Amino acid sequence: MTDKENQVKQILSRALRLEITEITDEIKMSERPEWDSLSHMEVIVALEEEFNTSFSLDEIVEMNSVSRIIGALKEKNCLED
Amino acid sequence: MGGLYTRFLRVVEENGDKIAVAHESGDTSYSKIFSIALKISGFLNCECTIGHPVALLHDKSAESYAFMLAAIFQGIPYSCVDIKNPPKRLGSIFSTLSNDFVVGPEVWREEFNNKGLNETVKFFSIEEISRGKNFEISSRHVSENTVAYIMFTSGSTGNPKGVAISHKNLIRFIDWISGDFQLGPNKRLLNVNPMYFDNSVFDFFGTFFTGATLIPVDSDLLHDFKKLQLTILEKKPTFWFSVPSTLIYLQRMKVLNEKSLESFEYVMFGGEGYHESELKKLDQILSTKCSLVNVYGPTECTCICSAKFLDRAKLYALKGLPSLGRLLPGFDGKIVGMGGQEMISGEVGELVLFGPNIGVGYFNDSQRTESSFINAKSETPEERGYKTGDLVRLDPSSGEYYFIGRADNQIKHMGYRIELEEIELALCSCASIVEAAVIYEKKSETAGEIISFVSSEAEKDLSLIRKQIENILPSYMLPRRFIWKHELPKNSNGKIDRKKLREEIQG
Repeated sequence: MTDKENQVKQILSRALRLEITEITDEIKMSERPEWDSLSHMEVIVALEEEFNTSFSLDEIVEMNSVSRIIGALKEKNCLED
Repeated sequence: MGGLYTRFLRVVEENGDKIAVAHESGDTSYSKIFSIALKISGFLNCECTIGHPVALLHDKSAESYAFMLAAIFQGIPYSCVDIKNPPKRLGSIFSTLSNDFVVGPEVWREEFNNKGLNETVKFFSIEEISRGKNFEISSRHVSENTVAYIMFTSGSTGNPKGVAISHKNLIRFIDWISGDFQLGPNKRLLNVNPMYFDNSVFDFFGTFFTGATLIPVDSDLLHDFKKLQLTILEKKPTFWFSVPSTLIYLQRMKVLNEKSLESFEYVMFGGEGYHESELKKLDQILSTKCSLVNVYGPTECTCICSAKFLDRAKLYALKGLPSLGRLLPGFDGKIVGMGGQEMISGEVGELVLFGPNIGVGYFNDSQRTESSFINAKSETPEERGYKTGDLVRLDPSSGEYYFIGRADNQIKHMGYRIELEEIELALCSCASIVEAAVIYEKKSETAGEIISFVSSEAEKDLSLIRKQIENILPSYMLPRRFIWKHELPKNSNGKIDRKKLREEIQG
């Protein structure tokens, strides 16, 4: 895992109030009660600030799992060192 | 202008073919909604007595709005209740209303029955009672002092209190808002506010008693971002009213942008403060023709009692929270100190409101009515007052009020009015808890967290406690964090030291 991917997991851990070890690639919004619509807003805002980017409505709706979040950031070239 | 029934009749006469409710499932005209309300009136006439309230589990269907109208026609107070309330809280609400039936959509029958209240409270489906025979409304006189609705809000004694608002209160309210906000035919209000929440009073009365169109947004639609944006783009609402939290949330999720907000003539917010940093972001995506309005008012004073039309050109200079504006004509405000003495102009004190929009009191609760209302039973409207608990400052030069804070432990969380004591009492009712304290910690200017501290035998009790209070409190009142302590810190009076707990969090 790269440093930037680790940064993503730290953001999720803070927003969802879960230990960083619990943030695995398999975590999905629909399966975790902690990941409600308000936490999702926290995640999106924190990612936008951290990576100095902006997501569209379509992207925000799609970013409903850890792997999809990483995918969306890769597409925006936010995870390149 | 006549009573509420006469006023609605006039709206139907003038706007019969116009759309009253633009629901995603289809449009309902004013003539149609009137005919549904007449059928429901027949049901209410059989089942209810005047002055005796009815409870409605509102699903934002045309039939549910028609139910509210029918209750108004018949002089029967209605109370919109959230089905998501845990059984104990629902039970407490039904017991205050002392009613033995509830009306809701058929799809909620099972959910309601699963709450275990169906032995004392019978469920009628709104679809069924909307299909009854047409009922002829006689010249049944509804006194202006009749209670129109009862709105439940958090109570510090652990039980929610039901604010009762009369027909007279509402007539004054409608006269004010229809003029100042130019409500009427061809205006379209987006009904984002939940119907069990005070802000919805503006949406409902501002629509149906002016001939405007209501566009319902239920909780599913509110969180279905793409569909919500599409609804806004298609239906082109002209009026937005919600708590700031909802606007901030939907702006951050990109549902609200320059395009989706293009049709709005008014964006109005209230129920909590809208911090300048966020307000400036909203201003950037509003069209130049749109008015931005901050409103203020406790549930006890018929939804809102002051408005400030913000000067958008000068918004850049705004610091902190915008002004609450001036009180509407007919209201009188006094600012009093801790001992009840009136404060010198410009000083901070509790706002006490007087005037004809002050509600009737808390339903079936004379004790709490007497402690919060002044001359509650007076026949002279000007003498009747309500102690808001809000600490404000009046700017003597402009006559505008500024919100400073609260005199008690009431908070606004995501727009919901919550007494922290209600959460503490819920925690203390869990078997294993020795003591509990709840604080509200602002994480930023726009978001906060409810944090609970509990002491019990062992830390492992926490998971059970979490589960137990989910059965007592609605979801917006549930603490985000639970911190276990062997014993809670005390101050020199032996009381729980909340300051120390707060420092611990911040440390």
